[in-house]
Amino acid sequence: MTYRVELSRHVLKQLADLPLSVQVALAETLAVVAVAPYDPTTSDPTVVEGVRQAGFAEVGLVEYLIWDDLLVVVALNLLWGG
Amino acid sequence: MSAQPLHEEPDPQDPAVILRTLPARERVAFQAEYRERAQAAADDIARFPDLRAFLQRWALRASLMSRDPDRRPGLYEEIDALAEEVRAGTAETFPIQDVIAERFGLTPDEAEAFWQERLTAAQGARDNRM
Repeated sequence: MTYRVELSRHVLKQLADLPLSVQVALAETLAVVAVAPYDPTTSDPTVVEGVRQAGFAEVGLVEYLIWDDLLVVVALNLLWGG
Repeated sequence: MSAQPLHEEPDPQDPAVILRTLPARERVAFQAEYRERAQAAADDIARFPDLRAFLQRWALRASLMSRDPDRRPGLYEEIDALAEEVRAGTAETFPIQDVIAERFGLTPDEAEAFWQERLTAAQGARDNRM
């Protein structure tokens, strides 16, 4: 059961600052999230209820909300150290 | 004889270092999650790589959060508000296939194929882990 992935407008703005290779790495991480959004080997809960984090490109984290009723994951924010 | 450093740099993936570096409001949550992951690795040594990956993510989080302390006070509220908008169906969101097409200069079909390839790879990697 694969979740649909959507990005917030905030994340869209953040993408503009990321190198292309890092955007590809982010897409790969979001594919991992789509396949198993609660997998504890690839993601962790955060202090915001319902929001988890997953790493990308070894220098960034994506924070995402899981909407189980609709099988949707929404990327809300990027923490990026590049 | 090689020279020894006077002070060793702390290991950023040391749980104690992560705990010190994280914002105060994240420390309890980190500790609880760390206990759970460490116990899982102790019970099943094959889970140790998962614990290491967990510490890598949290060391990165602690480092990133500590770089921009002025912005942090509002961060949780911003994320929480955005999550509420999504739950209420009022947030503007964009399908990843559309974003891939726009960012990578692909046609819709090419973007869909790109995304499906990533999903297949992710599913394959997950199947291999299980």
